[in-house]
Amino acid sequence: MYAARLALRYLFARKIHLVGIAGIFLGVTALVVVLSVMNGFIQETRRAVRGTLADVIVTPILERGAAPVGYEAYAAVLAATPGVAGTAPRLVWYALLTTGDVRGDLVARASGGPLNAVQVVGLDVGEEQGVTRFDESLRAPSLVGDPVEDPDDPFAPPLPYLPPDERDLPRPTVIVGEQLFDLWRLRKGQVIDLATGVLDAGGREVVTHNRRFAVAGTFRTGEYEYDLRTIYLRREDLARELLDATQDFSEIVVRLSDPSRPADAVAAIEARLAAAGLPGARADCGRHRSIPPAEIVEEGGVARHAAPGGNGGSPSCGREVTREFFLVETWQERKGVLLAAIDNEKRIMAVILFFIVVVATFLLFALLYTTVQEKTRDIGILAALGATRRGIQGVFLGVGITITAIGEALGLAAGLAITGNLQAIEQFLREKFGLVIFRPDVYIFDHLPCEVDPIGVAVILAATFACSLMFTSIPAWMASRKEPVRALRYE
Amino acid sequence: MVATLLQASAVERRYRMGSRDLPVLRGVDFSVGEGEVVALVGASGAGKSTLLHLLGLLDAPTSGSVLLRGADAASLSPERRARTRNREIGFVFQFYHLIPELHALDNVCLPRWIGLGWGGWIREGRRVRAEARGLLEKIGLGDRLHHRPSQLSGGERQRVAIARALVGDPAVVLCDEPTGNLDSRTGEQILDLLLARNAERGTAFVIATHNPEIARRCPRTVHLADGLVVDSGEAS
Repeated sequence: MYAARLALRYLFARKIHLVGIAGIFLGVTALVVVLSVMNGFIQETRRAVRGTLADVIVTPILERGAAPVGYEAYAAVLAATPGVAGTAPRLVWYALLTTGDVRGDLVARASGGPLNAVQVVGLDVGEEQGVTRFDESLRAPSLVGDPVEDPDDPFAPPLPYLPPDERDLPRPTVIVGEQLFDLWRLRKGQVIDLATGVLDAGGREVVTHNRRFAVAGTFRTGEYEYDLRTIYLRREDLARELLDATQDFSEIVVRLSDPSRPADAVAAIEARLAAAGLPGARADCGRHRSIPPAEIVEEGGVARHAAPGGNGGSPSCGREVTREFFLVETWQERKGVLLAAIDNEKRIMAVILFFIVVVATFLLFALLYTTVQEKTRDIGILAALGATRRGIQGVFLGVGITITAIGEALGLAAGLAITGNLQAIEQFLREKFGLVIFRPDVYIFDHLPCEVDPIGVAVILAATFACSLMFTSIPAWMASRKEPVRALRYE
Repeated sequence: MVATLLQASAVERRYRMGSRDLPVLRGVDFSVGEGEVVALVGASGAGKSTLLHLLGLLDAPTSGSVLLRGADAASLSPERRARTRNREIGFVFQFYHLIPELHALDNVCLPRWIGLGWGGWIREGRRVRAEARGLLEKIGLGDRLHHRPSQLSGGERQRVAIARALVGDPAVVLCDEPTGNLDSRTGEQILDLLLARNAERGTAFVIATHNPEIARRCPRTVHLADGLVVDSGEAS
């Protein structure tokens, strides 16, 4: 008890201790604010990335030249799979975009970078309902685009916007990502060219196709890259106009009944598809099904089931095998690198900013060291009055702990106050001093995102406390080891 | 026959000063009985303070032994020595040695707080405070309870220090030149306080002084010179 009382008296007797409180206050405030903003970025990015994808994406990876056909067969298997709530086919391809009427501009853009390469996604509007957020992306408030006229029939020709000579043509339409729309200064009703190439029937030569499409409007997922590089069109339009109807889908998007537990559903999907024997089932030699990759060897460009041991205990047969498989990914896996990068950035920021706390707590060490020197005679007096070493240590630990607790409490309060009023602060700085902290045109959000993570905040406080305790305990220990007689004689 | 409270037998204390060994006490035999008042007289550097530190278990002899009620201090752990010091021994220093951040009342309470711990403080905190207040009032500092040491005169500070030494009702109080920093009249008053306490509660006092007037008023005087007891005052 006396230790706590003396600690408080010592703390407030020396104004320099305020520097220690200020250091910890600043460190904790900075950590809470910056990590909350980073956390906000992560959550917003996850939401944006999530907006473009379904819970699970199934992609049959087939032998060269082969293309998956017969979506209905896959859909039937998936519909009977536990945990699957809905499916939709997608046909994903790549194309070069030209606007046709701005040739000079096109050359400038093409030479300036690969931005005219776009991902074209063929989809079925009805099938997408309830499986992906396609519908939401049509209805989302647009920042720089021009949404479609009727989200219930998004590929309907935008008749009022079409040039008179285009209105009677059976021109297929596309919906363009709003960033792409903005970058290319497109307009609703404008006719664009999409050029692509497909392998011929023999799988030897690339046949190019170039078709014209009318822009029906824009969509917005919120993920900048996706909105910059993606064009939606009807699946049958893509297959017919650009791919010679060689395939009707390339991947199946799947909605799960419980998206929070995707692992079980993924395993069930893989098992059901393999059991159904659809093209894309894991390597098959006719005698053995689902041969593990370890049992496949290459011989003269041909894959064989030749590894010792065989599948399921039976000996390998040496027969030629197919090397097809189903790629079953969750949306997190598909966007894993992006999400991991942001998460990693947050961790790096946390480590860098924590150095502020380390410096502040080291300052505490310096402050307490001088306090211990200054109070050497008091240490002798306490010893003479019967204080134990532990008690003397407790006095100076108490000073450090109180400084830390006050600094943390103030830092937490300030951090929460700042994060709670971040938009207002950002606006104030922008309007009053012209200081632009957040530029919505650079990021994919229209506001500075911020989400306080209570566990993260608790970790910050605990780590600061631990660090402080470490630096405080050294001078406190030194105080406890002072010889009482020498301490009493200290001048 | 008075029971021996504190006993130093053949006590030597040397300090290392660089490569030199500096003997301060060279085989001192000294004892103080329960309720006894002993003046420890000697010139500066004779070893009075060092002997007091050894008797108060603040320091350990280089050789020889210090016994408190027959128990060898060397056999006690540092924690046990600290607790014994808190319970049995009071100190009064020439320069008062009050904690500057605490006011008079808290300074007096301090030894009791040290001995109590959290639980004891909750149970007995009020009683300790009342006890300390009573002591300060008794020595004429009832109107100085909440004054910091810097706001008190030398005599007042020393009276606070005496109250602090007496608050736990120790068996012995070791006084190191308690009047050395005071004028003779104030010094007399301080000594009156100590002797009154001895008469009232039977507290033993060892008073190191080089003031012959102070020594004359003590029932027994021990003379120290060059680290040796030259007159144990047993016959006086």
